[in-house]
Amino acid sequence: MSNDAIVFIVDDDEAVRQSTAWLVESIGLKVTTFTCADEFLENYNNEPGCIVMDVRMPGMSGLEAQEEMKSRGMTLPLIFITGHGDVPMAVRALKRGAFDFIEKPFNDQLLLDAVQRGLKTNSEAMESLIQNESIDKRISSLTPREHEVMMRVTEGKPNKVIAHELNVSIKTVEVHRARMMEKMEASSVAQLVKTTIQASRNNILS
Amino acid sequence: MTAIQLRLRILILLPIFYLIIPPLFAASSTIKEQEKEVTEASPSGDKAPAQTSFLTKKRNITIGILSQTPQKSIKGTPWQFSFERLNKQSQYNFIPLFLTAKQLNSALANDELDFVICDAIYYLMLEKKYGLLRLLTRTEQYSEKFMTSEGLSVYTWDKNSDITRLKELKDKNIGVVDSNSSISWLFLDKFLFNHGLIDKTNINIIPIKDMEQALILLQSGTFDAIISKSGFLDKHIAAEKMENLRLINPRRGWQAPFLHSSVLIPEWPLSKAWYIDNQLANEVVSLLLNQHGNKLNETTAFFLPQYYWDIAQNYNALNELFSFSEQIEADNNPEQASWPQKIQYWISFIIICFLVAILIMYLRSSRDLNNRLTTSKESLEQEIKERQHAQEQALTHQAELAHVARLSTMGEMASGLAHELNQPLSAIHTYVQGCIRRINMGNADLDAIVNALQLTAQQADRAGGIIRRLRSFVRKGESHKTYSEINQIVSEVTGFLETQLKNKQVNLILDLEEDLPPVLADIIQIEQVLINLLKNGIESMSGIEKPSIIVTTRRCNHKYIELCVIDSGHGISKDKLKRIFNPFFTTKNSGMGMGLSISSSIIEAHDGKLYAENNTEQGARFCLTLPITEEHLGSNNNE
Repeated sequence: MSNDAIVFIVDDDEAVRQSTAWLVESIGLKVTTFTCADEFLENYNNEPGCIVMDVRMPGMSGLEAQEEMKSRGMTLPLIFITGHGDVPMAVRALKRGAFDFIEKPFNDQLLLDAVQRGLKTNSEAMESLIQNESIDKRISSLTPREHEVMMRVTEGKPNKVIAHELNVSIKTVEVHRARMMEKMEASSVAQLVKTTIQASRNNILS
Repeated sequence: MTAIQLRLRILILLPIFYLIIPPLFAASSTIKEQEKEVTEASPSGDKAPAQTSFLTKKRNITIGILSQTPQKSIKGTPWQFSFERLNKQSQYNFIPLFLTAKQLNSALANDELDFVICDAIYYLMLEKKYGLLRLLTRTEQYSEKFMTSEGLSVYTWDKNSDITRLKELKDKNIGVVDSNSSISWLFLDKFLFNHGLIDKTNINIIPIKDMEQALILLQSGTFDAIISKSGFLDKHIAAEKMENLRLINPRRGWQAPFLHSSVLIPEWPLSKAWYIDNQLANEVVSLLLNQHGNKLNETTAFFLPQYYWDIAQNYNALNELFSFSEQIEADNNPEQASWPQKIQYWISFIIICFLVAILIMYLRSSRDLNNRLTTSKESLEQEIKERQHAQEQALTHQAELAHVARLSTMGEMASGLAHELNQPLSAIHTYVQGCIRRINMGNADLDAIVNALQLTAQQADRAGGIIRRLRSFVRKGESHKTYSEINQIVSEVTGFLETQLKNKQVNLILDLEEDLPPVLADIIQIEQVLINLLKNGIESMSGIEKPSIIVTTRRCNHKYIELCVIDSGHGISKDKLKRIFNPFFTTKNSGMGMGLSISSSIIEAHDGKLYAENNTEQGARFCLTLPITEEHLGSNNNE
């Protein structure tokens, strides 16, 4: 969990906003408050963290804000709090990817747990994102011939077979293979396979 | 009683006339039936069927013949010869109709008879009534003489010596021989009347058709006397040599071939209806007058007496004699009174009855009016008291109703209020939990905790305020007015509805004139009205983009303060605008329809007005006025 993570609290009612901030701050988390969804969307700058948001607000409502964030590709976990939530509203919010849905007046532990889970999910997502980015980088640095060799190595083919298939000498294959392993930062075939599986899961591998 | 009422009552009489008139036609319908019967029966009874079938295509001429006893066919009556002659020699089809006096009268009234044959006295009456014109006089042959006059003969059996004068017929049984229905009953009545035998209460008149039977009854003493047409019995008496038969009150003169007890009057006339043209009348007259030269043979004549015809007689003497014939008819023969006359009597009787009834009602109503006037004075006083009481009660009811409406409003607003209460409660809860956590963790910043606790107390106050307002709003009780600042009421109410306004994302604009004088008002009731107007405004704007409500207050004419709630909703249609203040009128699915009705009565109870109108551009405005009290009116004017 990153220490830079921020809990964004969006509620139009000042008392609720301030008290929630007071509670979240009590466990040593950073808090930023906004009076409406528009204000939050304007000021958000890709910081890691999670959002605690009221469903009913003047101007843009919580559910509308959720749509907007989705369209902007924001992945921050969104925890809804509401004074008069009903089942359809909660189902709708969760189906669209809300992290949690909590009714006011809320149990403090429930909210804090949700916030912490949110932060964890966010930081994990951030980490995997960074990892994916580095794999992507490594794969794109390969030459086409090295890429061909890597694909066959991960399929478990020995150098002899690869040389035959690519219609080159075994020696050439060995040179390509050594350069490929170096570029992929893989010390063993097993590590290479692990990296490529992660890449294929994230659709990096073409 | 007013003229209109009188007119109404007369109008009521009209349908009664229509009820009476139909019987007239009933009588005429019997004639038509008879006419039909005769025309149908005549071919079979006629001597020349081929010719008759040809004749039936001719124009039908009806001749009414007075006959007190019904006769179906002309055959075998003294009229037969005359009708045969008429039908054979003319281009018309003459139909004889034997009718009673009553039937004759109604038939004439309906113009159903072309010719009429009846006795001279009845003719006089009908002449006046229906404009008949006599053409010929019936004649009868007595030995060699034709008589154009008739009389009555009264006979007694000789042994009844006690009857020597007509007066002595009193309380006796009299048989009236009326074979061939040829006796003139009216003449008989007049004759008896003239001799002191006024009506049938002091004489027993028994009609008898058969002459011989009459004579036997006279002989046996059943009849004290018999009356017949003069000359009728002569032949019989001569033949049978009935010397015991004695004529009472024998008269002489006129060179009559028969003995008679009465004066002689002209024989039965044949008369034409007013609409029969002269050509037809001439034809009938010439045919019948020439009947003399076309006698039947002696044998037929003997068995079948015949009527012949002569020129019309002079009626001067008769007119003098029987000028009161109508009176006789009316007095002595009520059953012979004509239908139209009876109806006239009945109509006038009913009219008189109604007039009397109206008079009685008028008198009664005027008497009642007097009584009512005296009692109304007392009841009026009582009513005033009751009205005052009712007014007090109405005020109480209004207050109760307003209370119920407030409760209902609260019910409708419950979810909004719950949310409003939820906010401070969750804030309190969260603040306190935050404090506990900090203290438990041991890193508590005391100042921060005190600050948080102060904020917590503020939230508790906020929740308390909501509850207090709620309670005062639903408080039940009599209206009590205090001097209140209208602007303060507005801000209180808009605070109350903040959540609702926020949820519906309504933009609220307050445009309040400053330094308004206070109004004498029941704050809660005015708040209620305002809440109602605002709620209506908010609801009217569902589906409207950028909904907004403007609340304005201002002084109006230095006498009133006007408060308007202006929305940007759909407005109110014209027909609804008229009815929105009616009780139970609602456009909402869940509404009771009492809100505006109660609001209106609340403002009226404050001597103000509540009215609605549409904005020129969009939405509607509801305005209420409250009077400025005089002292404030004065002080503000001085400023």
